[in-house]
Amino acid sequence: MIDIIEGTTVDGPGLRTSIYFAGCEHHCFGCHNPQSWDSHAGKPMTIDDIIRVVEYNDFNVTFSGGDPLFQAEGVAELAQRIKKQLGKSIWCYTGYRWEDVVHKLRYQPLLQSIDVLVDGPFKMELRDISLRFRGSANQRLIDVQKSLRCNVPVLYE
Amino acid sequence: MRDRGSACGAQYQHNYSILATPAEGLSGRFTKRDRKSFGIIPGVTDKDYYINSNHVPVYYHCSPRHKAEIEAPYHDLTRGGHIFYVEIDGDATHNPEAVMDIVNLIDKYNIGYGSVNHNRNRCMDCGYEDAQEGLEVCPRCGSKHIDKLQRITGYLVGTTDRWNSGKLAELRDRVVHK
Repeated sequence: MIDIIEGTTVDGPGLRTSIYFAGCEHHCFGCHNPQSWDSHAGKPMTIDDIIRVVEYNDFNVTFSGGDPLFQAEGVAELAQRIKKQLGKSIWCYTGYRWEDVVHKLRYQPLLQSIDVLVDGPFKMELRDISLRFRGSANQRLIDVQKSLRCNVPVLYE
Repeated sequence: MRDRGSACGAQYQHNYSILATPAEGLSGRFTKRDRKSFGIIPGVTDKDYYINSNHVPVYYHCSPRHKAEIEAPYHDLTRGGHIFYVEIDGDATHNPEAVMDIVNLIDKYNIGYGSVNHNRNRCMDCGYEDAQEGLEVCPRCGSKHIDKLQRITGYLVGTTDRWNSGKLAELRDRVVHK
C-alpha cells in the first residue's frame, strides 16, 4: 500500500477515499506517481485496516496506484467487502485496456465488484487537463457492469 | 464566553452573541505585536499569521470529514458568526458532486456557514480557464495576463496582489483537505 487519500476530488465523482496500491509494470512516461511502480513500496496493510478508513470517511472509493490489477486477488477481496459491508461505489484505474482484461479469469472477481474502470496507459502526447478524471485522451471511463452484460465496452454516463 | 453572552442577554434584555474571529487584518497585525511583546513562542508567534477563529491549522493534513468533525462543535458556541471551509484538490467544474458532498457534510455536522475553496485561473486575453496550480502562461494563447482567483477566508478576491503580508504567508502554508 502506497497511501490512502481521504476526500480527494480528482479520482471520480464526489469526495472519494482513494487507495493507492503498490506495483505497476506499465511505467508510463510522465507518470505522476513513479515511486508506486515498486511492488515493495509503501507498507503492508490488512483489509480490515483499509475498511476502517473507508468506513470512517463514508465516501465512495477509488482504487489507484500503481496498478490495482497488479495485486488483483487482494484488491478483489477488498472490493467485495466494501460492496457488501459499506455499499460504496468503486472506481478502479488501470494501465491495461478493457479488451486485455475482460476475458482473463484472474480479473473476473475484481470486475464483478467494481462500478467504473478507467482504462489504458497514460500517454503524454494525448495529455489533456480538460478531461474529467483521466490524464490522456486514450483513457476511457467504462461502466463495468453494463459492459459485462452487453459484452462490449460501454462508456460511463 | 457563550454562557456569559447568553447571561448578558437575559440580564439586559438585548441580543448578545459570540462571533468567531474573522481576523482578515488582525491575523497578521496581532502576531507581529505579540512577537514584539513576548518574543518568538514556538507554535504561537513563530509564523507570520494567526489561524482564523477555531479552524484546524491551514498546514494540517486531514480529510474534509475530520475537519468538519473537529470544527463543528465551535459553531454551536459562536452563534454570532462562523465559517467552515474545505480546500479541494481538483478542478471544481469537473466535480460538482464533490461540492454537493461538502454541502452534505455541512448539513450533517450542523455547521452554520461553509465554503468550498478552489483555484480558478482565467486568461484575461482569450478567456481560457482552468484550475492548475501556479499557472503563469495561458496554454491556449500564450498570454501571461492571467487572473488567479483564490478564496481568502471571507471573500472571493481577484488576484492575490491585494492580500496583506500575513495572509500571503498563510496562503503559502495552506494544504488541500484530502
